[in-house]
Amino acid sequence: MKRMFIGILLLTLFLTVLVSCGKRENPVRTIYPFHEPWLLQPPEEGYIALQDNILRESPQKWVWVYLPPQYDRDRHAPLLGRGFPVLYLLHDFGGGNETFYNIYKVQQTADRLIDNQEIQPMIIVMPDGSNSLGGSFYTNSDLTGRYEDYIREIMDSIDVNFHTVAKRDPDTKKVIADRRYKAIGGHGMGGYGAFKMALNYDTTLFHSVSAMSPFLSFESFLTKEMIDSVFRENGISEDDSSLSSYKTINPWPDSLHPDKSITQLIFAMAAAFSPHDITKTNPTEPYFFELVNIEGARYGVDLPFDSARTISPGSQIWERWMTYHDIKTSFTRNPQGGFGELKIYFDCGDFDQLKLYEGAGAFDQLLSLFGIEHTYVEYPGYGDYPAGHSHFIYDRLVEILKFHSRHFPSPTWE
Amino acid sequence: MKSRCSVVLLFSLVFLLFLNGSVLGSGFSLPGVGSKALSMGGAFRGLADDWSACFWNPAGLANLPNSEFSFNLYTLNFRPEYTAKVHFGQGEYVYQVGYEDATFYPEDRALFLPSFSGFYKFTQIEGFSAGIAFFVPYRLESRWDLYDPPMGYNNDIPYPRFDHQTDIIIWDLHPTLSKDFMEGKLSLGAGLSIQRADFELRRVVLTPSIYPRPHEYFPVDWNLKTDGWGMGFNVGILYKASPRLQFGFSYRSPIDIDLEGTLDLQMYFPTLKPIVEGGTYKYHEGDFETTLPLPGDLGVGVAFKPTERLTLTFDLNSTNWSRLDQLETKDFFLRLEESGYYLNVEKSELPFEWDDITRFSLGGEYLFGENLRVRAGYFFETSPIPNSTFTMLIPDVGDKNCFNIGLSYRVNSFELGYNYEFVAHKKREITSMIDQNQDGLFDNLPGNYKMALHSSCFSLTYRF
Repeated sequence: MKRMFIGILLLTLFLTVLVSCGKRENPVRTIYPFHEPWLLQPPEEGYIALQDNILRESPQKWVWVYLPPQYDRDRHAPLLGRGFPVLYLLHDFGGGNETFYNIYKVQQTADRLIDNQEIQPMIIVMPDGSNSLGGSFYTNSDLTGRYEDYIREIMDSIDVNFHTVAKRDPDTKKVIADRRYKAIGGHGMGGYGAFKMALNYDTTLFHSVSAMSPFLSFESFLTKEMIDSVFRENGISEDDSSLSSYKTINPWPDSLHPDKSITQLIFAMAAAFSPHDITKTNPTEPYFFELVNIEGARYGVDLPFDSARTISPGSQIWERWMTYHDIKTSFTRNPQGGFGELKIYFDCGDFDQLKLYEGAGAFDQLLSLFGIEHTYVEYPGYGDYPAGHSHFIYDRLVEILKFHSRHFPSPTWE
Repeated sequence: MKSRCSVVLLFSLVFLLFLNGSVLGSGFSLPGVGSKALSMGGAFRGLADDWSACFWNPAGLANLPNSEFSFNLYTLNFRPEYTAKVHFGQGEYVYQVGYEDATFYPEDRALFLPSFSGFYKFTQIEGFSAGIAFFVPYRLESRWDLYDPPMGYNNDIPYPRFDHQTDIIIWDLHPTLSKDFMEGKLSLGAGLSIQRADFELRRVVLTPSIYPRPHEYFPVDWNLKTDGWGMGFNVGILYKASPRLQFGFSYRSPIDIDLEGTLDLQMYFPTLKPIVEGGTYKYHEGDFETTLPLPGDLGVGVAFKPTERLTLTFDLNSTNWSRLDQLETKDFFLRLEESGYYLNVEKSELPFEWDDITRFSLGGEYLFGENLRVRAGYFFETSPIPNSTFTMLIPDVGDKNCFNIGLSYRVNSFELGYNYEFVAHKKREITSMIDQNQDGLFDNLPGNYKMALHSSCFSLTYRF
């Protein structure tokens, strides 16, 4: 009896312990390794649109290209109905062709989303929209180069040299790129560029457009507060409205004024939207700010505000900005035809340092007013990490890729 | 008889092969020492009738009829489970910072914990008993693979696999002296604790960076390796109210262990070309000093014999873990700043902020025949660790219900003992990250914690 009792006791304990010792497995985390991008070499003479720019910057710019894992790297030609869709992703002011790849990890994010079948495989093209002023705003400018046309050149090159989706033109019978598999998006300045291209070309070039924290309304952006920042960055006191002080404004940081980030942004915009008329070789206008002097000829930009820190309602410079370059104004001129049948997505952090959420919110209301189908998201940050201009681009990219993938027709790759 | 002993021995050894992991009572302490005391749920202060009395109540040693030498082997199977929720934001805006929302387990590792004790009863001096024991009151070991740097560290900057680690062991060399009075009705005892500690912690410290997500925090591998010595004492009283009833009281002093060693801080940079070239940077590697404040303990116990063969015990004790409020590191970080490195740390202690705890214990022993004793025990104990500093590094998850069962068999001068213990912890849920000492670094890890513990203690005692 006693022996049986002890035996049962020990056996019970043994089984209990044995069961409790089962090995437990930790979750297996999939790592999406880093791959170098495909580098699209510029033409030998550089891109035509960037030649002859007054700032004399190189027209040779490399384009970074993300190729999905399914892409056959030995094959570089469009295929009738069987290629990959293409997303053109335009970087922000201060960035370059590498920004989405290296800073925001678009390659690993896309690999993950493709692997999880959350998006269809796509080619992502990242042009270089930078210049010595920090950014081109993807705008045709005599001063900096014709960056809008440069994007068109890249698109032509991608259409021909990559495994994109092509179709046969019913009229000419030639093989041409199928625009239903093309999309454009961008961040900040790139978002502006994407919307600008979309407005200018609508469905003749793209099927969908997206923008993260874009510049959509100059009125909302270039506020008194922003103009004050320019003066402050240049060491001009609040009560100083003299022309002489105003003329000292320049975008080049120095030891006394090391941070000129807003000034640089405004100068880059001015270089894109209001380069000084080059026929005036000896400009005397108070708004003119020289950037280069070539053999005695002074070239530069016209700023849209004056020494009193105001934008005159009748200012010709401001009119140029608004009439030819402001997204909201351009759309208002032709609300029904502006975007054609384009699918539209844009978003903005609710703590954007440039307060771009105000312009984005106003544009959202405008699109709704005209019954244009679109998606706008104003997203929050968390804790002590607010949703600033660049803080959540890594996360928003996921939404951008899903949005475009959703609107590309069914996958055609094999 | 011989075959019966063989069966017991065989089962015990099989147990040893399958058991692994780590263990804890409260905080990082073990539930107690000695197979018999553990079998009775640690309700041993009123009985204190074997060598482990030096730990529970040194007064009990005065009543031991013989000298003893005992070998104990603790085997531990530690089963914590952590479902991480270390992210920011809420609703549809949830952002990961390197901890995946998933359930994790520590690495399974075999852990055997031997202890030896000797107790020699002086016969030259009437009424005095003296002895020396060597045991392990604190032990915790675990290794977790919880954190993975986000994208951007690419494939070429490997972060240590086991990013959260604990390895704590404190040995106690314990000379004890006791004496009885009033013809054996009252006995007093006192012991000296000479403690040697090896104290190692490794964790991830997320320090704010100036770069956008997913690199708003850079991980720092915080790796502390120290050891040191400390000294304390314990005293006890045992009073026999009648042949069937006795009371015990014991007190263990707090101990400060002066730790010396190294603290290595290695920051891992992502590849953010052309701004940052990925890699690692060793902020500091070298000397570190701090003091580990260990708690004191105050307890009372009762032992009652309703029959000659049955013994029942009850204990109540309190442990002042509130002594462990922080590990001071001030000088270290000041020196670090002076040498030009700044780690976004305004204050510089590692906060614990633990609370005092209470345990009550019940135990029983029944004698079958002349040599076989079967025991059972239970104790309930709270956790000293608040949510604000809780991580899985010291997984004392919640209120504990501990069940013990054991037996021993005497063969001439030898006694073979065995105890099995199961501890069930109440689940703990932590919903928010907290910076307890406002130094810009989070001191807890949110998520759901579960914990169960299976352990056994095998003992062989020789009396002479």
